[in-house]
Amino acid sequence: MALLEIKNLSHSYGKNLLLDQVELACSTGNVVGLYGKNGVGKSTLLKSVFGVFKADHATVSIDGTIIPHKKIIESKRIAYLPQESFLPQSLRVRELIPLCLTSLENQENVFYAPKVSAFDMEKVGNLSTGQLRYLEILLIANLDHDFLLLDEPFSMLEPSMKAIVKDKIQEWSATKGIILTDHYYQDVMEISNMDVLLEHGTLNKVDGLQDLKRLGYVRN
Amino acid sequence: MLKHPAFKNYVKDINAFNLPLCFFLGVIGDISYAIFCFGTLGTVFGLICYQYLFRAQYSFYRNLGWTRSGLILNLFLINFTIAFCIYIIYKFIDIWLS
Repeated sequence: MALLEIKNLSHSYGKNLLLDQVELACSTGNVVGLYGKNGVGKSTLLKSVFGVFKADHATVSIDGTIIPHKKIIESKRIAYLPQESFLPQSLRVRELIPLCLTSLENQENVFYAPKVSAFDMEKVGNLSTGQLRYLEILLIANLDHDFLLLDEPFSMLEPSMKAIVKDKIQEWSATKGIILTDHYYQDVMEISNMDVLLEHGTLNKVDGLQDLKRLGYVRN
Repeated sequence: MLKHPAFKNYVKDINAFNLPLCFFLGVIGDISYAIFCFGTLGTVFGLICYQYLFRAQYSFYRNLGWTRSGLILNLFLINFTIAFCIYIIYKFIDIWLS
């Protein structure tokens, strides 16, 4: 069991304080739902934790060991699904899977995942937006990393794929800690076991839909 | 990293921009210019094109544990080594023929 701790994460753009000493913890088995209006800093938070964005202050530790910003990516403990598509477009899906996943077991998890056989001969660049998003999620989640940061995993997914991804996230949470953010809050809430709302730079714990309404993220 | 198939894909993508420039230099100038360009300016040109067109793909490599600076450093190492070896071979052939 692994524990990811984010402490004292602060960042400002000029005079605008985006993140103010944010603290968050996620351990194996946790699915943390991160909510927040557009532009409040959800993606910035995830990018800082992944090590691709340098916040003004941030301490990221895993199992009590602080990982310096420059070493987070190299540590291979945290995987990150960004909002924009990021897979090499010129490769076929069946070429890309072994390129990304070296273990045969992980490769098979993707090859034999539902609906993948329908497009595994296609070039990545020819996939529909939903298929591409689905493939990205499967590839990222099947890396051997302990933590998974998912930025809008449900966007552009058809309902049946969304249901598969929700089931898969719960399956992956047995061996990983997962932090996900998406504006499809009902889908997130369905699978999360801890919810937080990012507002005015700070994280507030949320207890159900009523809390999201009370805090103004969802309309009454 | 150097032996990983994903890194080879990165090198291939960068050199897809690098090689035509080197070929062009080889045609209008000298072969040794083209070889020198492959390991230096051509690689920079490839990186600029990749940054402009495929910047998002760095997330793919980051998830494999490679930073952008690490990728670029290893790319230069590979391209410079290739250029150096080709230059040596080219010089041997040149001396042998003359």
